[in-house]
Amino acid sequence: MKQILIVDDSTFQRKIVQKIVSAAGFQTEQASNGQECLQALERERFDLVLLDLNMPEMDGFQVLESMSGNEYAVPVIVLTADIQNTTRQRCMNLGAENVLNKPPKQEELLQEVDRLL
Amino acid sequence: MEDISREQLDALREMVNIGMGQAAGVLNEMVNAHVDLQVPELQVYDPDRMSTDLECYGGGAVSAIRLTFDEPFSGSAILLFSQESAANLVNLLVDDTTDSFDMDTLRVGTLQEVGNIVLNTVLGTLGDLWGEHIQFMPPEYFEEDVESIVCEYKNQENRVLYIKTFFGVEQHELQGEIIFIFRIDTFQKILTKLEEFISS
Amino acid sequence: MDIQHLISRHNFSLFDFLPLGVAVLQNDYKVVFWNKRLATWTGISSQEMLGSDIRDRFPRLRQVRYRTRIDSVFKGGAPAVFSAQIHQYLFPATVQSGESRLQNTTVCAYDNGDGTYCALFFCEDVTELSKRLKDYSEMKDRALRELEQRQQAESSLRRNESKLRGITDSSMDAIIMVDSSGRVNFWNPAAERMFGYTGEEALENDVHWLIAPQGQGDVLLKWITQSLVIGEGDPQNKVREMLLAHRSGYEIPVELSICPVCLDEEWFVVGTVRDISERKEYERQLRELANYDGLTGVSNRRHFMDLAEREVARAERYRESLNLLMLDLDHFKEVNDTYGHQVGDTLLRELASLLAHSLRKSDILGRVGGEEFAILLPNTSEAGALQAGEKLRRNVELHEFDASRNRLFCTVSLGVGGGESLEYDLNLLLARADEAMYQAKRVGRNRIECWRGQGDS
Repeated sequence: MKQILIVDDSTFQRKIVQKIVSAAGFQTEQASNGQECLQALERERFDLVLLDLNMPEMDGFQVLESMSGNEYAVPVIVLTADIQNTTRQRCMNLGAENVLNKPPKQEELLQEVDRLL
Repeated sequence: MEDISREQLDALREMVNIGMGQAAGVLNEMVNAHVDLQVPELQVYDPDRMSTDLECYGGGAVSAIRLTFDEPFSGSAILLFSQESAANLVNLLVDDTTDSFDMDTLRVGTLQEVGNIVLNTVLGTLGDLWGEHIQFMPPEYFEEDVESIVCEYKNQENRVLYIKTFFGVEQHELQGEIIFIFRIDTFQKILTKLEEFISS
Repeated sequence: MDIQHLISRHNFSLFDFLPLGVAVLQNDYKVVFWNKRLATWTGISSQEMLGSDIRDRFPRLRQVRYRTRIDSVFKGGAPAVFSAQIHQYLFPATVQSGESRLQNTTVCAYDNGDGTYCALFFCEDVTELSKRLKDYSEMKDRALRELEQRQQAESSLRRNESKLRGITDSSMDAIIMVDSSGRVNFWNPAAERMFGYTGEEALENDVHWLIAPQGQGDVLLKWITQSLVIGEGDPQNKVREMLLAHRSGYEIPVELSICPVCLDEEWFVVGTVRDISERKEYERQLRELANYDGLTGVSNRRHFMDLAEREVARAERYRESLNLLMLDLDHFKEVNDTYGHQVGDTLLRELASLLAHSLRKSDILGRVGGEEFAILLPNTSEAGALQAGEKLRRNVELHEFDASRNRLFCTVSLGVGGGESLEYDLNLLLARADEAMYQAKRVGRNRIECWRGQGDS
């Protein structure tokens, strides 16, 4: 059973994503900021991370930086409200597999998930 | 009158966040530079409380752009800029060829244009998320002291959605406040929408 | 939708009455309406524009910044604003002088009723307004610069004033300025102290009324007026010693220097007043020292001679009689040897006092030697002098001298210098009186002798 880590400071957002992903048959865990995300990655094995950018304490960029240093080898899809190309570029440079805009369209998201797992 | 629950506020914050993301995209195109966004602070309250939050402007005049909208959502959206932010914005948007204008006159036009974009992008996105078409009137620009702005909404049946935003563009900081004033019935509709989202 | 259909369906002709340039586009950028004002401004008629793609005529609209927002309006989105300050204009147009028109353009969505939208372009001409704003802002800058300059000038003036005030405040001399009618318009702290009037009390008041002693007001006034008349005269004759009055009436000896000053074509007089009471006192003491015997307090020899000369000259002028007595304390040496010099000194002092009290006001007394005194008697004959001398001798003889509680008695020997004939030679009189006195001593002391012509020397 593939496990997906959902990282976002908004409870609402996590719920939406969780619904989409679990309906497609994946197991999920949630983290509400960068710290919790890294801690979860230490604890367990995940097959995919769905990462928000704008979070308090530790944001998505910092998480990407940490992860690229540590070779978790877990693919990351960034889910952000920020539609700017510049943001997209930065995420890709930091090792994200893809950047999707919020709100996530069910089809689009599942397509990406399938592609990576 | 029903008040907004934590869950609903959370959902609303996320939606505003999306709206801001869209606005950042548009601003990016305008200023040709990356726009840093921060998580917006959101509060919902009665119009009387508005003055407290706007105290940081001192007693002086603020630059404001107002967008009014009507059925099915009635209300106003006001974007407030401090003098400094306004000046910074102008610096970003205007190149040296327009040196025939001084800062004051530049400021008005610039704020009007940018403010308009930011407000209708955010509201437009919210409208899209709720599946509603919001009908906007052309924007107004005015400079008033905070008290006068607040007074207008105090006596009516309104709820205020107060959003504090922060854009960083390169070295410039733009800090603005967005105030959405919704008529009570509109606000109720919004709450209903939010509830739908949460439970679906 | 067909253009013609659109045009016939909506009557845009009302837009001709608006004070704006108005264009209506359907969502493929084709022109549905082009109002008269826009036609005038751009020089392109409505016929030419209708049905054509506006971007052919105005390729600027293809740029991203316009395209995206206008597209959004075509989808029913929010109005877009293109401000004159950023874009200058959407549709190039010129004013009479050839300058570009400046336009604020608002683009709004117009529902066709079938789910499609048209875009309404409203162009507001702000050329004039901008010019006015520009003028206004230049004026504002100029005003601000002037204000800044003025503030700088004021602050430097204030600094200067402070400096001057520091100087006049700290001056020990009174500094007073009066206008041409004698009214005070400057009165420094030293003046306050010297004359007893505060600045407020002194200002605007007549300086004579304030500081001129009774009956002297005119002198001051004359001097001031003279100075004003002369104008820039040199300060040479402008220092005088005089008496000025304190508020209480008490008179103060001062040295007053005045100088005329011209300010803004008006003449004023600035006076510096130095209190010379102390100096006067020193002078007096010096004079005293010079003229009076330190021990006894009576005139010293030199002073006696001065006074006596004057009196002799006067008597000569009026052909009046006068006489001279020489007086010597008997056995003075013995007193000193027996009782010491201090007692001797005290004795002399007492003797001088006794003599002074025994004489008339017009008589001139002087200590002319160690224990020798001379007395000039105006208006006195030989007989009169004898009488006066005898009186003195008796007073001394009878007097119990305290002399530091030694209870002494002593006597004097006297000589009368003037004879029957009038003599107006002081030195002669002195010599004769001296001789007569020695005679008195030879004969037995404690007596008075007259000069008997025993050979002039």
